[in-house]
Amino acid sequence: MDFSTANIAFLTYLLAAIIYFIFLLSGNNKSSKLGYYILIIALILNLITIIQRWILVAYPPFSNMYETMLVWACSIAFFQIIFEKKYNLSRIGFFSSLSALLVLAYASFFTTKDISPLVPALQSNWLTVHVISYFISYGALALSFITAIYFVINKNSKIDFSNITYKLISFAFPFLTIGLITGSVWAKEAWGDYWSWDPKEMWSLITWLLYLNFLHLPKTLPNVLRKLKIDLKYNKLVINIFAIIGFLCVVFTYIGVNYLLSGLHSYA
Amino acid sequence: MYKIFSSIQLSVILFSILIISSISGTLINQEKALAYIYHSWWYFLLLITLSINLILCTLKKRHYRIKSLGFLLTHFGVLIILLGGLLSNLLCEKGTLSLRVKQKSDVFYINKKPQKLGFTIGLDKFFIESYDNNKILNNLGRLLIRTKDKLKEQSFNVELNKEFSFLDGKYKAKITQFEPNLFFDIKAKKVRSKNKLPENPAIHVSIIYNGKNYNQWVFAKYHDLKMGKSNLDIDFVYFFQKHSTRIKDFKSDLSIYEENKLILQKTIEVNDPLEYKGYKFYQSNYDPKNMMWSGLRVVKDPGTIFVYLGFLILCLGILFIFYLKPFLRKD
Repeated sequence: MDFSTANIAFLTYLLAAIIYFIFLLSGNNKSSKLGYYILIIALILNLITIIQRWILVAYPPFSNMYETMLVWACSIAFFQIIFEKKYNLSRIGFFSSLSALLVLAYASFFTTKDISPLVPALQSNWLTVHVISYFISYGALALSFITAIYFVINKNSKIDFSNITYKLISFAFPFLTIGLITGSVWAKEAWGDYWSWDPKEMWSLITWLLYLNFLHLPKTLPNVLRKLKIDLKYNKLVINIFAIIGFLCVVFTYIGVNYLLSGLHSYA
Repeated sequence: MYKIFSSIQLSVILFSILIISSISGTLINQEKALAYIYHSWWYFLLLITLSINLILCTLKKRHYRIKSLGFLLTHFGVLIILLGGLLSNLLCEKGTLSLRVKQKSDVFYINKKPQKLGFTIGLDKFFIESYDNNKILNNLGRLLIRTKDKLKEQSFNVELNKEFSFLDGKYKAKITQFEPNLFFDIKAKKVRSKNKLPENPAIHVSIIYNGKNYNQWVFAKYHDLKMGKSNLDIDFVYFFQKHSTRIKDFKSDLSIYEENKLILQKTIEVNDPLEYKGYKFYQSNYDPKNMMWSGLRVVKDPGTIFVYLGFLILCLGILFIFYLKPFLRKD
């Protein structure tokens, strides 16, 4: 059995998920606290994995699917830890830990860990800024996906998950924007075009527009529902369904485009 | 009409149409997507309508306070980006230029049609960096020189017409010719290449020893084969390394001339173009079978500055709305 740091991180995420699950079933606060601290350990191990990879490859480890998945798992765990106390998110601790676990599992089974030297186009400081911005946003958006589903399934929860979804997306959106813009500036420096209309770029824009629409919905949707004579109680439901669709677009942009649509962004 | 065009509802509808049409463009061949969707008149009309809607939404808000700064910046940012995009679409010049080493050109090509640059650009050198030995690989390879008893040896990058000395300065030499696919033309009674493919690479070495000149052809594929008169107590071994697929970088040394005067020199590589008089020269590609050529992408885009400005303003606006405004609200 391979006892690499990545595998130990995986097992620690699994342990955190199990303990948070016990909290979900029993409501025992001690379980939630224990899950929280184990998740912190898992995050540290995940970070160590990234640092080890960085030392091994001798360039910022953000150039392929395996490396970026390590970052994404880290980001999901990081934001669960940060926002758990602020927004009382213990209830979704199980789902966040499970998400980080699934991301690492996908990285392990469905991507290659082979070390390939960076192609000339990726040899730029923009790589770090562009990828880090996106994965900060993707981590927070993953949490918003969970809170949106939580709201849709359990609208009468004491915790206002709809409001938390909006806040998470509000936090993530600037990083999503910075990711999109830095990608465009980098493309201009590398290839001479800030926009090539390739599928990866288009889906990044589509995702950005979807979240832009989401952020405008609270101002427009109530009036629309009133005009259509639909009960305003569906306002939050529609907004959260939008948040779910938005995250599905994030996943398609990150993974789906690589496998189903081709273009310049063939490396990650 | 004003009420409709200045409504946020219209913004949401326009974004939604933009989303759906953009998605459909990704599901078809990219050339068709460009022709029928992204560069179509109706997509252009959609962006114009969005711009009008943005302007009217911005003007509709009559009371501007410090808290409105984010709102204003984001809207203006998007408008400036769209303006930059329009200028790029109308005024941008994009083309290509392939240069051979030592070649100069005062034109580049847009759809194979020559366009005047207004100055001359020349390729001084093209080279590839490989990950395999982490050294700059001269595109013509390396020459190993050793004594016949193999006790002493030295190795050099093959560079044409560059004099070098070896074995404690006893010998001086110059590589005067390179043939990628050498054969002896019996009719013409001279050495030349069958074609440009490096199938039988060879170099002509001119040596000076004790005041006398010696010449020799050295072959990369046939180390024991020598052509020429040389009774020297040394052996030449020529290594022509076909470039590795593990390319670290490919670079071109470019020079800009105006009225035959050298104005500027720069080594360009991917992510580091040369800029002169609004033109940017990007290292785009090269010919792996003939590394005496460099492929450049030439772009002159007056819209870029507006797009970058729009990006900056948009970023500032978004950071204000999502990170600063909540603090102002609390106050």
